[in-house]
Amino acid sequence: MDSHAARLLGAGLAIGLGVIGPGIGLGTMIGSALQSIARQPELTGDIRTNMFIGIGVIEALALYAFVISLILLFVVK
Amino acid sequence: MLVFSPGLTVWTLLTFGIAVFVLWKYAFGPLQHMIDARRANIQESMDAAAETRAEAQRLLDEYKQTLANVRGEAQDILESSRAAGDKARHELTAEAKHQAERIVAQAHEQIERDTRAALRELRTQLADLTALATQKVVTGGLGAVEQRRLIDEALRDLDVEQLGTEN
Amino acid sequence: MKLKRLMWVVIIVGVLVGLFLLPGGAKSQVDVAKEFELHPLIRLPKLGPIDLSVTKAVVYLWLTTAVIVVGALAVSRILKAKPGRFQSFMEMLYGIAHDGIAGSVMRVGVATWFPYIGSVFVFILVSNAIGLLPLPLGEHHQLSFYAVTGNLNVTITLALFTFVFTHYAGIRQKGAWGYVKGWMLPSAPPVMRELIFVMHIVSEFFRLVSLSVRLFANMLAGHAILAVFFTMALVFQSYLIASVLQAGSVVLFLFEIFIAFIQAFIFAILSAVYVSGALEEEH
Repeated sequence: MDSHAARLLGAGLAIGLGVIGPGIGLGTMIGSALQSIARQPELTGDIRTNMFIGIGVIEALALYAFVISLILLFVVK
Repeated sequence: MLVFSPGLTVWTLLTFGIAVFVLWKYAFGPLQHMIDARRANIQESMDAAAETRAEAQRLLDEYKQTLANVRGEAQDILESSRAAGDKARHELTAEAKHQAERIVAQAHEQIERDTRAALRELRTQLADLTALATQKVVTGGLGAVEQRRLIDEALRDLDVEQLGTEN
Repeated sequence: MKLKRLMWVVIIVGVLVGLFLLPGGAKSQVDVAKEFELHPLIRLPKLGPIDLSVTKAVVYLWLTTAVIVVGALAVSRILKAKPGRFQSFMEMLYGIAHDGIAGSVMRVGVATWFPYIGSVFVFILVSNAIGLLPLPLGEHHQLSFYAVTGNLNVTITLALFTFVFTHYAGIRQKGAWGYVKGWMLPSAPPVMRELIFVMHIVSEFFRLVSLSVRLFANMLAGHAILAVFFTMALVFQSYLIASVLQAGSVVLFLFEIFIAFIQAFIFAILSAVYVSGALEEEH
């Protein structure tokens, strides 16, 4: 396996494996948020705001994986 | 995209700085001012509307109260006038009855008096006639038939039926 | 209703134009990464290490600022008590920034720090929105999509603003020593306290990284996926597959509009959270 192939493989693995955790996290997070909204519709605004903050924080993890795969693809020579 | 370029950083600083300045000076202030003004305006209108409604409610209550009072008064007046009318009618009826009774009584009295007077007169006439008849009998020495005729003659002058009707 | 139809026209035109966005037209081998490379359009002399040459990204930054300046001046000129459609739209944006972002997470200092939070929201929103318009700024002046927020230099500068303002707000509120002391938990045991202090400093820098990388990677990934959909149509050389892919890119384009808004919202709301966290007493 030459270095180019290793890079491609690493990039694919980085993003593929890296989105698993955030995917589970986002699912749990949004599910709970929707449950809370269904239970207490009068708090929808607050819950949604906090949900977006949480989404931002969790999503950043997947994006780190994305950046790592970008670095592997385009920066590492 | 992942390459560090200070030039782009400087450009970002510059453009973002301009954006912040312009937004701060020309957009956010006036917009906030306008929104506050509108909010105050809406608050004012709502207050005024609430006030007007309260006023209208108060007037309505007042009118309702007045109307109820007037209705009650009218009822009272009607009742009192009805009562007065009833009373007057009763009084009038009683008066009329009373008067009628009085008239009847007077009439009875009159009749009695007249009867009595007639009887008195009858008695005196009878006495006179009896005296006359007696005299005739005494002086004439009449027989039974003549006697009878004389008495009838005397009694014919005394019209009994006329006595009953004329007086 | 009219606005909705206009929006659909814009989307359809944008997607159709996407077919022509590729460098060199109908090349079957397209490098998506090339779409994000910057070439100077106007060369300027270097000032030391700083190359101020005007690239595609710089033009996008100018456009963003121009749109903001024009919009801000226009809305300040036509302000009326009875708003028209434009003013209503501006007021809605302002309402989102002021009440939805700053007001909802900041308990103190909304009045002081709203100009920055609102500006960063508007700036990112406008630059993301411009990134969804096809503009003739490609390598060969063909129409293409590019988002300036898909460049790490730009987003890290914006994140640095938040970073600097956060600590400036904290220091102004509590004094330099008081602010730094707030990072140490006084109740923790001696060695743990220093450890927590160091971890806090590290986490402050990670905030910088996560803020900038989140925005950058979202915009870059969105545009890369759009570009992949557009190029795949060329790769397959088939009208049937191209039409299916175009339908997919319409959906993606709509999703990108949502992402453009959400990323601006998240960047601004996290900035507000950080600033208000520095301002608050217990830390």
